[in-house]
Amino acid sequence: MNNQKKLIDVTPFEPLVIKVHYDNWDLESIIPICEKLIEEAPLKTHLELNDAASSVSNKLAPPHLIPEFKPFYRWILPMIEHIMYNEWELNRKIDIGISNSWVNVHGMGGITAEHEHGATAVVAAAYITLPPNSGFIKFKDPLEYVKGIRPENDADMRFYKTVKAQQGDVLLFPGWLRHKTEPSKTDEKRWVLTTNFVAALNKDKLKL
Amino acid sequence: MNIQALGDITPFHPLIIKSHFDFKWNELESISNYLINTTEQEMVLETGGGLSSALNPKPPHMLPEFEEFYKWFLPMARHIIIKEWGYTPTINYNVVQSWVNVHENGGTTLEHNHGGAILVASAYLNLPKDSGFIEFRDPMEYQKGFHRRDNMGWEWNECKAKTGDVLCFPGWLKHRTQPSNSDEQRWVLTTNVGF
Repeated sequence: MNNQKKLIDVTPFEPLVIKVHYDNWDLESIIPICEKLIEEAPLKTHLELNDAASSVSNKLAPPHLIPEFKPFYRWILPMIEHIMYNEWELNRKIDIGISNSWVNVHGMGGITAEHEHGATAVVAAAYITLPPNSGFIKFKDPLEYVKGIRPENDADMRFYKTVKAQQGDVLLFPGWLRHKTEPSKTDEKRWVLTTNFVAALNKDKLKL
Repeated sequence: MNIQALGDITPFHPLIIKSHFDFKWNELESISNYLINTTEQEMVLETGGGLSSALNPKPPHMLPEFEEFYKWFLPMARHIIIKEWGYTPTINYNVVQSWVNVHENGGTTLEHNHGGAILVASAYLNLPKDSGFIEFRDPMEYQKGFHRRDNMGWEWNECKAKTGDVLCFPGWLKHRTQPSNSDEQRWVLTTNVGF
């Protein structure tokens, strides 16, 4: 917000994209597991283009059920609860569960095409590695139709907003918010762990 | 609970922007009353002791008494439209309509929007204690309505303000006022900016 004229953003609606940071990735043990998850994934997802792959179809071994990822999930769960119940004011009688988790890897030119996560209450995108020039995430403005009266030229620039990040950052956002990634411009691998946290009525509360 | 600092990094434009102008209300009260008293048609949006000059052929932005405010306001409105909201700078955005509203005790403005106005400014000429704030309807209520909430009416969100505050927001954003619980009159100058 430009403060030249003492303009204050007083938009009273809750934040949509929240960033936290996790410092405890043990890359030496995690990366080989991630590579195995990708290798054993039975299907190639249509969202991953060029030099990109995902373990999303590997339902037998989602990261949240793998011991090496447990410290991350123990760390993030209280934050997910806080966001769901306090920031976004969801009903406290509804428990939190994980419907799926997976890792994505992007090499040179790799990209994740535009998508959303359906009924997911909170999506967590955790940057296990994020080399320079490997591409950031871009969120599509959910108010694009009402803002569409703006006479401007570049529709993609107009409605997509890039969120910069660094290795270890974790971005949290609602499942309905559409997003995609920038293409990677490096040969170094970009690894992202994604988790769908759902509002799980009448289901056992997640224990970690 | 010890929650790590959560950073709001929502990358979209701010929807509601507050600034401040020190109105000389004692110099504006007379003309404001004149505008209300010479408005022949009532606005259906004003109820319970609310009146508006919206249908008065004399809009405040054409009157010398409000000239100082508009001299301050218009560059700021253009800055918000072009720099904060990303509209093209090739269009000459200008005031297209303006009016004053007054609320007695119980007065309220019902839910509405301002159609094609690019920017709406609600300027509090006089905002007594307990005379009611503006409330904005969450434009993402359908997406957010997917999950159950604890609180009924969560889609309405209050913006607190004080006399002299100027709230700028897009014309499509639905809003209403809380009813006034004060015996002192609440006066608001509203301006539509468009092209």
